[in-house]
Amino acid sequence: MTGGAIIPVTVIGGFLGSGKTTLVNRILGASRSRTAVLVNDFGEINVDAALIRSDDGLTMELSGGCICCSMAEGIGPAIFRAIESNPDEILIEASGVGEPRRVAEFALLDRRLKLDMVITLANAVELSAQLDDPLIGDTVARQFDGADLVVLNHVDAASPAQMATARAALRRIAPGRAIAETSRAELPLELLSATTLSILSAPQSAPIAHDEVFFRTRLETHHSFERTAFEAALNALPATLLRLKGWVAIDGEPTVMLLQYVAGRWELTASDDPGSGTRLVGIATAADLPLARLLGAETVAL
Amino acid sequence: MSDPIKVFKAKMIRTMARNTPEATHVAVRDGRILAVGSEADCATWGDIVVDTRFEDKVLMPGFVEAHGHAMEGTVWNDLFLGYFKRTAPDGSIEGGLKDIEAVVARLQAHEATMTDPDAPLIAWGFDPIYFDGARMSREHLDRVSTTRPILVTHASFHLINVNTLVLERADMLGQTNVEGILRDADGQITGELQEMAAMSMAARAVGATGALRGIDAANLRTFGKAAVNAGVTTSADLHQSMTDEVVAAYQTATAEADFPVRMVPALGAIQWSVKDGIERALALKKQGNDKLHLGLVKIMTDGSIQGFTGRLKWPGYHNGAPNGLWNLPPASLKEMVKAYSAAGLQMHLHVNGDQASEFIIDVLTEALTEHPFPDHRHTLQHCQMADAAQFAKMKALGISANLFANHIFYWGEQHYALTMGPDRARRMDACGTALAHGVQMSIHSDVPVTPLNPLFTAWCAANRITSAGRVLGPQECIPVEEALKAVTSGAAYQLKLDHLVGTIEVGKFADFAVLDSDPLSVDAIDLRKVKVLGTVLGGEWQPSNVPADQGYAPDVMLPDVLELA
Repeated sequence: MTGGAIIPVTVIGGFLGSGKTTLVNRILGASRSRTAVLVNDFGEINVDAALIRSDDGLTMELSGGCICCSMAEGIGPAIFRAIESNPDEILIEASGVGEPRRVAEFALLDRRLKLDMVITLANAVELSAQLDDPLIGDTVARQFDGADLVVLNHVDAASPAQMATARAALRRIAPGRAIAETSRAELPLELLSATTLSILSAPQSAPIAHDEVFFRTRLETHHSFERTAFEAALNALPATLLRLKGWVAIDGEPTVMLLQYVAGRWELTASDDPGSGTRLVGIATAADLPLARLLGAETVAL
Repeated sequence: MSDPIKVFKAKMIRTMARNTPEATHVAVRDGRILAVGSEADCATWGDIVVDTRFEDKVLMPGFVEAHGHAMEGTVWNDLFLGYFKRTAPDGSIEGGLKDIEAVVARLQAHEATMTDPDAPLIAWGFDPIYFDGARMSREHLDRVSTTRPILVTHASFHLINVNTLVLERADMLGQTNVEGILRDADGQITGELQEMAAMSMAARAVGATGALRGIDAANLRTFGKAAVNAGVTTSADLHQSMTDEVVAAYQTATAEADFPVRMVPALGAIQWSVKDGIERALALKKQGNDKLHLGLVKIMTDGSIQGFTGRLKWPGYHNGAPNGLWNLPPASLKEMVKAYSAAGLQMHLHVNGDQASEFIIDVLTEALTEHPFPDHRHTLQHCQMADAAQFAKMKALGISANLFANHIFYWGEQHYALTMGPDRARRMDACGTALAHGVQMSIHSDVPVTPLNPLFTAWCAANRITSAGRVLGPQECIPVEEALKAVTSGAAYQLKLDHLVGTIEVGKFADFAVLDSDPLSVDAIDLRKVKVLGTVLGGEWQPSNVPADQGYAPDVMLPDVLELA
């Protein structure tokens, strides 16, 4: 072990044709950090895979292993190789039949990794028919288990009727999860970036993406939080809040603390930030999230 | 003038051929069968010298295992902890551990023999499914050692047990929210791990992933010993990466004069892109030697039934477990299967559940309609749940079935109670239905999943007796002669080697199984007691490594079997 920084891991799941590879390319194209990417490549079958940039030496193709021998082959060794390449982030495209939450377990288990976000894409045109197909329906449905963000993609190609059935299907198989509707997996990079605090310096207009899909939420206050109550409030935040970053004043701490919250998982660490007061920015799939009230700080404005 | 012709004399030669089904003499020249019949028949070819070493023995065609894995040559580097006794390649008997205390005692005894105090103790084949719900915990393994990492793989390959030291090294003790780290009712970590993440993290902490990896020439030599012990002279190795490294290992081992088995490795298509895999398989087809036959392709579709990962049609698993897993999306599998078939490559397609077999039959219907492939011999492997309707389609399309007869003995009770329920369990691995529909058929062990032993596999197909002594689906029992055909000429056909092996006929390799008694004269129930003494490969005697006085493995303890049968 090199003793390097903890590497955040993003897992992208979804059935064949849901737009996983498009999203991977979008992230790689916009990211300025060294991102190791693990993709499934079956040559002609997954034609999108050719789009993935592979000129940086950080792209690893996952060859399939049979289910019985998954210990020796497949994703485990590829993740260990990725760690050794010392990247800033790791991006894993789960296979079209894989369960993203099982892939995410690597990031929960390995102390060199931390799980950033699990994103499962759905094809708005095909989702309903896929779920009704006895060959694949259960496989497709399982991919939404454990997703932090569900992306209903290809909405530009879907008829109003298809949209209605797809939304209804997601309410059934992914209840309570944050859902975003996109056409070409257009997620804002500031949502996806696990390594920077870039959202703090982003323009403050809301919404932040085209179709009123994502909304920024802010909290600036002189309120100093009592630690236990604040942690309890973090654990109770709604699933629609995907990311929350910034500084928090905690009772009894000499300086503000750094909060990094992603889809229910959070870290509160000491920071050397000279500023004072609580300054948080979040991204949510719901508008007008009452962040101050949710965190128990609505009484004192900055 | 050439040397005199070598002629083996036997008490009985069961040729398994229509022409001359029984004989007493077989003449060999250049490793091939020159003549079979009487001594006089052989002598018509010139001067003969009669080798009488088998004159009180029975010869059959060397058995052909059409679904095994050369991994049998690597697993025995680790300690076997199975419930049933099993013969190791060196001829010793391992396993037969009937409760967790026996497993712990075996581990303790093995640990005491290990000289390097830091070496991990790796074991395999542990099968608590027979232990009435009793589970092994890290406390059991800590009694074996607290200073040496211990990792025990279950027979299903879906779970492992580790001791506390491994949990510490893998940094798992403080973990929460990881489904793969199992806990008992009190929330304590038990040391049982499941799912790829937890299992590979533990294996990595121990440095133990190597045992399940690729194959080298030494592993192949070990596999060769196992083959000789079982009377096997030709074996598939039905899922290999077929990288340059693997091909080189195969070429090295099979070029050795004393390498005792013909190998037929299959390229695992899932490990290649479709384009590269097809190119690779076509290139491999042109290589090889008398003991190395290349070009076969293996397609993985679903998982296993006892692991609840097989893909089932309605009504699904009897215990309500969710449906199983596909290795690839069905649409991708379809493209893959059609591409390989269009390229003229024979496929062996792993299909355990009936949804997987039905899907592949439908895909092959389309593939063979779009690109006719005369004599394709595509074979459905395992095909454990196929019913009459599926066999009828297979017959119409010329698809072969290689059924997993050993499952009836090893997991028949679990299928009866948990996976299938009584009625579907009675028609699993339906050899009788396959034959009734005229489907070309073989039966297999999937070694190392179950032991390599075609006579035992034939016993399973002929008797269908579970480990508890139940006759599971007597309507599907097949006559001994059909079961023996399945492990000789039937398997040879599926490997497209029936012009070379599978019967004792003129022109084929002089490959024989040497037996102490005649399997076609004993009662079906005693088939498993026919003893293999060794093989003849290309006319050369290969003695078994099993001591002559050793008992039978598996240790079938069936008080009521004869009554039931």
